[in-house]
Amino acid sequence: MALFSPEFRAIYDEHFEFVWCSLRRLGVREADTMDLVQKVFLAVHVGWGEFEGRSKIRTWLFGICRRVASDYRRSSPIRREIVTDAAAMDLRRDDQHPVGAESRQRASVAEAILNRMPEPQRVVFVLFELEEMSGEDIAELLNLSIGTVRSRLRLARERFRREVKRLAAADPMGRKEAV
Amino acid sequence: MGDQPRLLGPTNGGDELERELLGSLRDVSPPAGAKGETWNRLAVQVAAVATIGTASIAVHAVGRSGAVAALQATKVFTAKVVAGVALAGSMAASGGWWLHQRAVAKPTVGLPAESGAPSLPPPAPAPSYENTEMVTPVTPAVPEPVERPSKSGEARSRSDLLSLESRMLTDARAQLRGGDPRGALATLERLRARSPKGVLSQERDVLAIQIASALGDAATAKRKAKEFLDAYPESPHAQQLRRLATDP
Repeated sequence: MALFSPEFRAIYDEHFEFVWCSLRRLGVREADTMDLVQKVFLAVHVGWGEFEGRSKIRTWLFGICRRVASDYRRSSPIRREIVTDAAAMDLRRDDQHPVGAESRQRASVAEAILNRMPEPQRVVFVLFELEEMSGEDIAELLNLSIGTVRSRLRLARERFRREVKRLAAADPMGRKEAV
Repeated sequence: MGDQPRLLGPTNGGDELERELLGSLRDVSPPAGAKGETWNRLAVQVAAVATIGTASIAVHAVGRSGAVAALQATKVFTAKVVAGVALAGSMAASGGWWLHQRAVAKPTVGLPAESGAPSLPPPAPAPSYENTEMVTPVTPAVPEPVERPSKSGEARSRSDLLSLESRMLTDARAQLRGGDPRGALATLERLRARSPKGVLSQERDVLAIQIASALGDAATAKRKAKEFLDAYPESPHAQQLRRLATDP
């Protein structure tokens, strides 16, 4: 007898990468991501019957990812300080477009900047800038007012820009290589 | 009032470096094989719980307060898996693909020889997820040996064996991921000594190949991959190993 329903398998197939990337953008180290993805889908498996379709499936999944990542960061605060090894980052690659050292370096720097953001700002920043969710959807997902979402986004952007400027100032000739 | 333009949006005139850095995060993606391995782990974990009948408890918990309780329920799952791993393992193994394969005499791929080559980042294990219809246990999520309810001696023996194998494979895999391929190799050697004809022999062989790669012994890894493919051409691991075997 099948352990998983076809619906669950379809969700897994369609959203595995989304869950993986969301956890990574929420500060989970690459080495720990598989364990946490498993945890997310276990929660999905258990709670699938409760998903009523009132929100988008990705919104629901991201909500679980956020809680799992939050627990992870709380339980292992030291991990936040660990900058991912740029050479080992799980960057998208294929035979025609291998990931170069510069791409890895950029991603590593960007991740380090996100790791320095307060979590509430980081979540809004990731949702808006990378997941391209609307402010209203973010507000609904996080149970915040739209004003709070905009405020956090503004603070996160300011912080991001400040960090980028600091990097550029530290190495104006080779900005991309600055860490 | 609508949303502001995104930093990576077409109408944003933001700083080029800001866009480059932020855009680089979009390139993150799961490594090859991660999807299949995660599915297999999930299957083992859920099978463990289903075997001891705690799923209904967990689902009931979810029914009370939705996704938050679902997360709490996963903790119940995890705890109960300790008690269910061995039973689930035997259940899964009884329907597992490679258990069937074991009925046919196959050569065992040997462990790689120790070498002095520097360790490399371990490759991600990659069972062929696409062809995995249902339960294909790789590694129980909670590998500790457990107390089991009484059952027939033969069944208990098989459960014990599977539990031991699962635990040691989990340990070896963790060592490999932690940058200790020699420790992983030693664990596999101990497993081979204790259980030469293990239920999870394919898992052991694939891990041995990964360890050879991590030790920089590409020739051994490639040779063992070819031997594995000859022995188990339809294995869920074949796709991953075929890539390794055909690399120039």
